[in-house]
Amino acid sequence: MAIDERAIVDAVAGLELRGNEEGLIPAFGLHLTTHFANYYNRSSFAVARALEGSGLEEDARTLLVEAGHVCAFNTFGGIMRSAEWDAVVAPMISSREDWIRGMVAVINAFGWGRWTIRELIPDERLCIEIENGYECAGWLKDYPVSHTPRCYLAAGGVAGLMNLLYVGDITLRPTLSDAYYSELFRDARSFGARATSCLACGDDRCVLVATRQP
Amino acid sequence: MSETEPDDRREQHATSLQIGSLSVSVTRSCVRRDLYDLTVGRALDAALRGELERWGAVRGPPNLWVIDVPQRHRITIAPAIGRVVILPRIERSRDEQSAHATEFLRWFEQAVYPSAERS
Repeated sequence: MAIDERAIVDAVAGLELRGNEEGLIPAFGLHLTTHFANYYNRSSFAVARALEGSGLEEDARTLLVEAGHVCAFNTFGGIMRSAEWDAVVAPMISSREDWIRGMVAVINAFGWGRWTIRELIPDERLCIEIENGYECAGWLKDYPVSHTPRCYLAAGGVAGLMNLLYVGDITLRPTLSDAYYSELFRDARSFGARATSCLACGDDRCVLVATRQP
Repeated sequence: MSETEPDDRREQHATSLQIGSLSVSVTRSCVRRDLYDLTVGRALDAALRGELERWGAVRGPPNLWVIDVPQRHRITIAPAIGRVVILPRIERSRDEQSAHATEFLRWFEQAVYPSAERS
């Protein structure tokens, strides 16, 4: 059975993911949060802008992409170990790469923008196209066209997908510990992602490519 | 249980809890709560969905049952493989989380393994 994105989006939408009386969203074995997209955007962009002209621009990018790595590890990893995944996505999986296809379908149910897999070369390269990504849409709403990509969290997420599947092995449902995080994201074989196109820079969408880091 | 965390609190610690025939994995998922996870190893009878209504409204498609119990926890069930996950509310103490999960799991164990099947 191929990954049926519509069925996955419908199932996730049917979970009524909204805050409970504690202000949290308990789902996928995790506590998700709901808040204005610009809350995170403005926090991260303030860091990036504060360091511009200081010579630490790349450090700012590294820091903000690292937040995306941590998010991917815990959130994507947690989702792929969840009962919801077992119920809805796992029965559709027929190849290792379907783990990424299934996860992208779940991401599209979250409303972070429209993610599409443009290319997936197993254990080598992942190219994701994002239409209306909330990070860069938020950038354009608050700031002028950027001279550099601003889809930091998404970049960390795209690299995280590859690290969960090809550096580690999320299909074995490993414990998502600090040690395992280091194994996946601090290894010579770890993937990193860069934007080759970015909505914030005036392009019509973001394109992120994850490859092994030199 | 104490709310005090050991130095290695960011590591996940799994312990097991036996409730009748059920072996439940209890994972110390974060500072504030545990996660209860079990698989009975077989598909659950579709009729069980109706019985679960006693704990709250059961939402989700036929292949995913979700029961949100305010002030207690969310129960997520993958019926095709008989997996049950209980995610406690974080404002409850760990003792309360455990008591609420155990209360449900005792009922669930009786529902899945009727007395005749166990004997």
